[in-house]
Amino acid sequence: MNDAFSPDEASRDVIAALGFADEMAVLRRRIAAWVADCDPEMRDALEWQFLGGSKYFRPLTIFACHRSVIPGPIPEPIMTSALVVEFFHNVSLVIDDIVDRSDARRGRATLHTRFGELAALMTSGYIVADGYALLRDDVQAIGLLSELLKRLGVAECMQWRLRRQPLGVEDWRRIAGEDTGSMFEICACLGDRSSRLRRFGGLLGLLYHGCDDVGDVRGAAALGGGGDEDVRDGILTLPAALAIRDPDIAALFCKSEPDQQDLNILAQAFAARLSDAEAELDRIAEQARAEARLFSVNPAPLLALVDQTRRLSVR
Amino acid sequence: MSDSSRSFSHPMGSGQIDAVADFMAALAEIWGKGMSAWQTMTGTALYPDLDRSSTPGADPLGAMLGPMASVAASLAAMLPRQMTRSAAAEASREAASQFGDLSPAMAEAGMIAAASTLRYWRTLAEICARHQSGLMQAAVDRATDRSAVSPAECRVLADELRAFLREIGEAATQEARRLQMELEQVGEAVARAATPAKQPPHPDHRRRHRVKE
Repeated sequence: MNDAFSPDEASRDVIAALGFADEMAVLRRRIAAWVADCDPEMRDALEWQFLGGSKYFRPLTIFACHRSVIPGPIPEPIMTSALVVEFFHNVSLVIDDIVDRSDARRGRATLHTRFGELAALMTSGYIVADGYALLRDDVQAIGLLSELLKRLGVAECMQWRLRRQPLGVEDWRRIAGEDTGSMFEICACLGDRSSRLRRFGGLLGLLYHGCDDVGDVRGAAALGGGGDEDVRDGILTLPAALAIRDPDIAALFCKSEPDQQDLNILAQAFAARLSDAEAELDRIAEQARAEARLFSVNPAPLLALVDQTRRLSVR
Repeated sequence: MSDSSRSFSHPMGSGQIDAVADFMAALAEIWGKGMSAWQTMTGTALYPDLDRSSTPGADPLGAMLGPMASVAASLAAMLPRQMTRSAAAEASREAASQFGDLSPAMAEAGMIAAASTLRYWRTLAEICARHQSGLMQAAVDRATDRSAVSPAECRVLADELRAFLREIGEAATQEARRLQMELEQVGEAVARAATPAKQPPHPDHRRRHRVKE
């Protein structure tokens, strides 16, 4: 197997904890084979994008949801769904990096920084098109992934439109629910194929998004670190939604062109609300666990997934 | 026609009518108990001094279930006479016997629905208890000195109120999904019970045509 497609260190623990090491090995081989077989014009960019390491949380969610309702090996259509979800997730990362003007992700140059915006956008289109081609015999998955791409587009526009506004935790839930929440919702549906775990997936996505927000404030390496772009752009994160309850912080947050001193004050204010944010995340995690216990046959993989996700904010 | 199919030939047997009437009456009773439990737990009386039995519309579910229970009871009183008039006494006995096999499922469905109703009320009470102090304090502040509430405080209050409303909605949908899943499981058990054991295919039913190549 090509080691370049291996998961990062933190993810290896997660994969081991969930017991999907063999399935993930198969998935990584499939990704490596797909990249090797793609058009030579695109190969460098695709290798660069998929070489960067991944947490593979979305495929893991598909596998865990499937295993929680149907015991036994992961069937081929579920494996292909996981492959395409990982593709589409990478597309969303490429677009996010262009929009956020991010130079680096996972400690290396972003795709558009390395190859230019045109190549990054065309590579994204190539990935989406071939993802759908891989799903040609799976109408249900095509429908679910179409829903995902539409919702991700809506979420990105909504998040951008609502930046620098004095909003609240409920607004954060709405944005995060459509952004990362929709991704994990679809993963759950692709895994269980009955939509019984859709709500679980949505909550898991919300939890992941919130842990990402909190981890950014802490500078957690497991989630790529940083978060400076969000503060600079006035993006409503969970700590931000809590901190801007203070009118002075809200005024700074809404400034169209904050200076470095403003950004420092905001960062401190966000850090001061981390314990409240963690408490909110604990509530979301508990809701996800309740869903897992109620609507799965074997909740163990789902409970492990919630626990592993919850830990992302403190790594 | 097999015996099992005959038992379902009448849309509603007398035993079923009794069970439905009982079920509706139980639901109406549980609704009343849930309402009073909720009022006790939240310390509020939604309909003080109201005699719900004489005030249609004051209790929406009770108002809906009451007539349904009456209709079911009327049908139960009427149907046995119709059945007696019919010449199919033997079939009726067999149908009653078949239904007897399924009545535990009806009882189980009733228990599931009752538990669901109680669980829903308990969840509502928990949500109210969790949000009550904050929302009530804000309401009192607003009532005593309207000008004291700043826009920032208004935003926080609005956020808390939205969380309260979201949780109320989520409780309803989660309980509905749970009820649906549990009733589906009962339905599947009924379907399994109603399906006769597999018989070897009759020689007359063997396929005679060849598969096209």
